[in-house]
Amino acid sequence: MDDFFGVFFRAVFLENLALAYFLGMCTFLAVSKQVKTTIGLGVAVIVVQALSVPLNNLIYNGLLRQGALAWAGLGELDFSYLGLLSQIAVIAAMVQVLEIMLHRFFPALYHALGIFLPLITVNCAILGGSLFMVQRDYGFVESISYGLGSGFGWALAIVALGGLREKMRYSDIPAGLQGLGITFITSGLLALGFMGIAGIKF
Amino acid sequence: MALFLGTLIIVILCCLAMGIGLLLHGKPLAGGCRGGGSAIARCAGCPHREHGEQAECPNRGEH
Repeated sequence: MDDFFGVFFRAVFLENLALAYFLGMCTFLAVSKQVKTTIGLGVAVIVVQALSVPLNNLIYNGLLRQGALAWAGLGELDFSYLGLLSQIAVIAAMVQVLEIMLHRFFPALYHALGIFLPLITVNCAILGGSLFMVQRDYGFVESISYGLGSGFGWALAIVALGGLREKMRYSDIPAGLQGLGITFITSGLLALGFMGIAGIKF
Repeated sequence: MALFLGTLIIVILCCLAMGIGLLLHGKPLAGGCRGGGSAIARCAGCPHREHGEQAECPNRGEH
């Protein structure tokens, strides 16, 4: 259980996909003008990440990696070179099914999320989560924890940036830094703040 | 041979997974106007739209 929470907290604070690895920067900077929209996108990322990382873990460890098909007498086969393709397919399918389900059962949330839901198919933070899971050789329980933690960490970062950008509308920012300039500086300061937590052992 | 066939099957499955939205399009699972009672506004084209609050339901991409 310690490992479960350890992986979760590391993924949220120390190995934050947005602020430590700078993944998903396109949507992170483009869709962080209002807190309301960042919360919608953040929730969508948490859901997709929490579902896709464990599913990719099951597919990779149960089908693709060398020796995974030993139960069928095909232990020598190694399909790990198809890992990237299968991870992209799983994420694309997951987002489409989620979109269909939300449209059917939660139309209000579906319309609130709007374009953000299909956009996270191509969010590299989502694919990055699955690739890190394979690289670090996480087990199934760890992958659940990592999926939840990395999604939550990315959501936390974008909501924090959204809040700061809303407040900065009332600030006197030099003309040359207005817009994306001050947003880059703020993101860098946020990343430094998250690095400050690195001294804590999880 | 087993490697080739396995690769072929996995690639076909991945293609089907990526096109799952098209495969499910028009099935009972997709779309619909089911709401959570009168508290949720209903979009244009949904039945009983006149009963509750009416939502604008902007086109996706207008955010």
